[in-house]
Amino acid sequence: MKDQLPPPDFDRSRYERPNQDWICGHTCEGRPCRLGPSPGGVCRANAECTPWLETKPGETKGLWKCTRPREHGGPCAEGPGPTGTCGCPIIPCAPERTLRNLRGRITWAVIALTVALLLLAIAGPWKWRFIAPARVSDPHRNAGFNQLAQERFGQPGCAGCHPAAEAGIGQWLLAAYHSDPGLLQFSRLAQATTRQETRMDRENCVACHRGFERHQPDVVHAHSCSACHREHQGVRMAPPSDVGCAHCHQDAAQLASFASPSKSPSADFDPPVSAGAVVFRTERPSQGRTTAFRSFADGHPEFAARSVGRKDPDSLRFPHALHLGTTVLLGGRKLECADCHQPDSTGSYMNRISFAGNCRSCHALQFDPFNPELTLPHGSVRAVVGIVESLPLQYVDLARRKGLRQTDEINEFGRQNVAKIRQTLGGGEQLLRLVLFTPDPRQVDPKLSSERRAQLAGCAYCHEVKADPKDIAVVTPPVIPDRWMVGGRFNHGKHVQQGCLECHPSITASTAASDINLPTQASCARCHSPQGGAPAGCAICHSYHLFSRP
Amino acid sequence: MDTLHFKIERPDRWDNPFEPEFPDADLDRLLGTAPFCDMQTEAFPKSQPLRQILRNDTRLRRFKKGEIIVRAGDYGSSAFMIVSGHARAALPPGLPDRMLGRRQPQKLGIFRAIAQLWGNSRLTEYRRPDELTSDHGAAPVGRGPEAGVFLQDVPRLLDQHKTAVIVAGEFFGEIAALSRMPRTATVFADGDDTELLEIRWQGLRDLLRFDKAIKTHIEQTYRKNALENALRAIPLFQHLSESDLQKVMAETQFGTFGDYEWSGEYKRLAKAGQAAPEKEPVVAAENDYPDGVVIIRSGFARLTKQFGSGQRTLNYLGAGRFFGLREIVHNWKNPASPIAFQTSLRVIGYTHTLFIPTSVMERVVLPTAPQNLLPKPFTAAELNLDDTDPLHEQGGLGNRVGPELMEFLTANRFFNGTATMVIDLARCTRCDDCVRACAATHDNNPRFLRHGPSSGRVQVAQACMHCTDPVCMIGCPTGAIHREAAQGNVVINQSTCIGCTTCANQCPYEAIRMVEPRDRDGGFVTDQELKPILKATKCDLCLEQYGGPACERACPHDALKRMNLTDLGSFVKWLER
Amino acid sequence: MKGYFLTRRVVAIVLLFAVAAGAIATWQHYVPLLRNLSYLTGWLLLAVILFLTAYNGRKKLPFLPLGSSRAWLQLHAYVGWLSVVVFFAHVGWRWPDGWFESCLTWMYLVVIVSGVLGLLWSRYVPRRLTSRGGEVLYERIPVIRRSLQDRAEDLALRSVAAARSSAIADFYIAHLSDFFRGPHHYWSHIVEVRTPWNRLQSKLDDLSRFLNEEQRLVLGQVTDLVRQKDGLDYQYALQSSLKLWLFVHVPLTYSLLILTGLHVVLVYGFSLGAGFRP
Repeated sequence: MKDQLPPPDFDRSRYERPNQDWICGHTCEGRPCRLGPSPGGVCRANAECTPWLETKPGETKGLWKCTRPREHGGPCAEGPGPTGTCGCPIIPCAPERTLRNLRGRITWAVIALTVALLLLAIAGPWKWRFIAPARVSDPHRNAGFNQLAQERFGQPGCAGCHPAAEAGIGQWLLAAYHSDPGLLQFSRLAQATTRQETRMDRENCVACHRGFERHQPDVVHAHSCSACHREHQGVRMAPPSDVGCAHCHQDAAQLASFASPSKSPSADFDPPVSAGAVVFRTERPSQGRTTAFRSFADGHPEFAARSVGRKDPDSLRFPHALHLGTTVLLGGRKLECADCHQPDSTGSYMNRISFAGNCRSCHALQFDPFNPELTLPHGSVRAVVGIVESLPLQYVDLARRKGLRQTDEINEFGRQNVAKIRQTLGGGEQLLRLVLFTPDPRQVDPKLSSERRAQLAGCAYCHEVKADPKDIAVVTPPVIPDRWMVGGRFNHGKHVQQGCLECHPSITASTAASDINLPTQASCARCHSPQGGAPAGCAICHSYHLFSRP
Repeated sequence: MDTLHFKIERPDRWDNPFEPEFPDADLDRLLGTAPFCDMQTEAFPKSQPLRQILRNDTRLRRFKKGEIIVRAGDYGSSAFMIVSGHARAALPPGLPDRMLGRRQPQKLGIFRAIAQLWGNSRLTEYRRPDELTSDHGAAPVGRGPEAGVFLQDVPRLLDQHKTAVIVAGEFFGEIAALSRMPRTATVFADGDDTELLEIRWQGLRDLLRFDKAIKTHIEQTYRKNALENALRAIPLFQHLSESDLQKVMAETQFGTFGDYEWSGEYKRLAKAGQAAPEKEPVVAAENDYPDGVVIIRSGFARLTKQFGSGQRTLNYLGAGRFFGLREIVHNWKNPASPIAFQTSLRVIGYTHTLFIPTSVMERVVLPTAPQNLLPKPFTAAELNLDDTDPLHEQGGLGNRVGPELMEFLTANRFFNGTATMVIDLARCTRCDDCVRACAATHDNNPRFLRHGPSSGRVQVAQACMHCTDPVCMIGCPTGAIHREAAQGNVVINQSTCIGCTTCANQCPYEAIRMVEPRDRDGGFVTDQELKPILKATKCDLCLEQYGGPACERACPHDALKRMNLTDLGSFVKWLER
Repeated sequence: MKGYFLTRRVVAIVLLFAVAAGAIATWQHYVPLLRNLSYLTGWLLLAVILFLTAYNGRKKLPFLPLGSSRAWLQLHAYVGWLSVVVFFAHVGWRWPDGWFESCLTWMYLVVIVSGVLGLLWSRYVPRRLTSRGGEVLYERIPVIRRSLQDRAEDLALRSVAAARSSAIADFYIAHLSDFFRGPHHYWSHIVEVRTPWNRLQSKLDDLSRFLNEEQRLVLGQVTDLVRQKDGLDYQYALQSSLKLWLFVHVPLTYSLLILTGLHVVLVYGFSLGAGFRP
């Protein structure tokens, strides 16, 4: 620091006063006056001294004397005027603010500007855009919502959810004070959770979203709607996160406290399904679903439909393995899943399997090996009985269809064929028994090819047929569920990149229709896990509002 | 060029007479009375005859009844002798402060402290009328340095306080004048026409030098009144028996060095850039035989060592410090290989010393001294080191400060301060928070200037340092500037200050500023002749406030510190943060 | 930096990180418990900002034993850093979307960033000021400038009569009169660029080629004044910069507090629990 400039010379005999608000306007000219401005910033300068009238003893007039102190130059050369005016008047200045005072002024100005801009912002037409934390989701800002809000709450727009919104800042303050928790209820801050039901839930959300307040029939509104449904996050509300679910379902102790048998009827716990849908029901455990687990990949229980020992109780006899094997060919090729299972219009699930749509092409229900044109009707035992009992008529009809015109020829055709079938299959009662109750046509003709066997199969080939004294026979109606796992959602359309066998691998070995060939939880978790990379959030499959709609 | 150059005339002994016109008749009368009539005029050298000394260095002063002559606690450079009439000295515990024109700072009540937020005047230097009128008990009369202060209601005072009468021919105040110690008692005139001879220190010094009687008298007085206490205060002598101490006291010599009014002289020299260690009087020189230890009694001395062709300052020594003790201990323990003084002792300003010869030290003091109080003998390595500090004076503090900064502190006499405001310019953001804090605690008036001499990153601001040797207190006519009782800080009583500017002119650090008080309307308060009243103002170390000096507490950047520079250690610690 | 300051900084930074890590850990612990932490962090943030603002109050109360200003500044700086953690915990580690909340965020960031830069500047500039020297009180700068101007003018005027040449006076009028009239080269001084000074210096050098011995002496004195004026400008520029950054930091702090007040009212008035119907 050897090249330091020396400090410049200046008058050090007086204090420097940076604490003052004003400095003499002559400072910039380098000549501040000794009186200085008043605390309020008014120039007080008049003259450098107040002359004093010195009257010596014996004198009457006296003499004006300069009283300028020595520190400021002593008595001036000019001296006071004859009337006692100072000879060195000071030119008044415009005092200037000190930097510090200016900062204070600027601070106040900025405060005023801020208040003014804020008032402008919350009074103008852009008020909602301004104060909203982010855009409200579209469903809560469209015309339909406004109309609903107008009907239910008397005001459209924000007041649909925020009662005090339209009232102005004073009312906002009151609303803030009266809110729950209130503005100054600091003691409640530490306990504040999203688990309580809030006024907005009660009075606003549920008012429109009726029936969505419950998670389980006996768990009434455990959480605020806002715990999962975050509004003001953009045009679409984000899907709920797992945090809320995990709060209970990760916590074994908490779940254990819910494990007492419910007072509500079990049916109340059945998840909703669309009308007419056939559902594979699994009974709810008496303790409820109270197994704690960390995530889908880590500890999620096996799907109820896939739990150990569970069988499809359906009576239909359908071996998937046979149909997907080499025995069964369609037009010379092996069957594929999609030959029977076609997605429905939404793409999520598969269309219901029907005899006409899926089975008949192979299982044509022929009964006369010589006349394959004749088939049995499907769906009614009476109709089958009717056909068998009116065989001669059927042959006559067939003859006509074959183009025979002569009555004789027609009759002859009928007689011959009736005789032929009586000879091979037994007539009348025997044939009916064969058609209704014989599970395997090979009992009749051991040399039948498998194709012919399928063609010539009777009811019992697939169905459970029971003898009935009144109606001869009763076919147990098959139950093929449209939805197997109603607790969760699934979309086949989103999984088209996977082959069917990836998720349903057991299907090629499934010899009985009672086998449940749904994917296991583990197979889902192969992809739906942090390792697999596919999203694994609860809401991917489940809905919180798991209940039967009242 | 616009720089002023000062040329200093070689000062002459008779240049500045104490009294411009000393009447010859009075001089004759004086020389005819005791003790001057008993003095042997031939003992005085031709260039300094007794008559000339009296004419030049004394003056006759008349005091009225109750007028204070010296005040306990004041510093003064004069001794007094009663010519006619008599005076009274107040015996311990002495007169109350209020009577002496002093005002002890009182801590503000907590409410009054808070009330400063809104209660401070918005005007600068506003004074309430009652703040400007004097306290009861002491009333200044007259203007300027010659103003007198009278005790009120002397008869009652005599009832309530013990006093001793001092009669014609008796001296008083000579020890305080010579040793630069505060006056020990208040003395006031008892008669209406008490005539005193005031002898300033130069005269006293010469009388002492040339007249055996006076010398003996003063030395006896000193030995009787002051020396025992002074020695007993030093740890090395505390273990001595009464008889041993008497032996030491009998051999102890006193010394005064330098110019009593060093501040004025120093100001001139400093301005001319001529203050240098080589020009300072030497008390003991390096390489001389260690003939005794020097104890600094008051004032300051500089410890130097030859380096190159100059003197390197190792440290400065204040009151109570020894010089030469280590050499004497070394020689006492190694009689076979005696060594000389390793360093020199030079006087800065005015220094009063005690000198105890080696023989007494070796005979009486060292044999019985506890070993832990004695310094270790020099090692061979230390003696061979020429260019560094062989004493490792307080851990080599002088070297750690560095020669330039050391010279800065010494040449400017900053070691005098017990609360020197040092500013680390490398950290100071010039935010003036310190000044504003000072103003806020002093009714909107700052009491220092955030500017001053600097060396490198160290600046010593022009704030009262509360000196150990307060030059400002010499010559205050009304005792308005005084040390407060609790911690000995120097304060000014605004009501008894008469604006004579003596203190402000004396202060070598420009720490006292004269201000013009204002009235409620912002106009200057004037006397009857419309001349503005002046008041001396300076830092009072926030004695009335809570928490100590506001400036230091207000510094956000750790830049400003009120520091006791008499202790170099704390400065080094601060410097090496 | 060594000794005390280094120790202080290390201890403070370690403490800061410990407290920040503790705060984040607490935050992460409470999130799965469905605690509504926005209210808590919000009030905490407001408390922190009020504490930071209280430093200004402490400066206005130097007469009360409220702790030393240096301790306050240390707390001010480090609690300021801590407020960044609290702030981002409060806004949920994302940039807010709403206009008003964006305003709040911007305001907060401007105040914080100005504070950080101001502190760095306050640590850096004093060294520069000190090593350059020419130490002067800011308030006295106009007076000194004027005196330098008067002296320079006087020299220029007198040189005309003395040397019977108006070279120096002409040069003064052309190149120096404006320089002496007010502060110059503000930004050059701030960024420590010496170009304007060198330019002026070379002009003076050029002039001196054409002067006689006597005039050169006068020009030397003028050059000296120019150097002093340049040093004065340097002091002015740097000292005022040390004061001016607070013109951003302080007023916006109060704006921030006002916005925060409205934010609190809005948050409560529009909260899930606000059922008050006017």
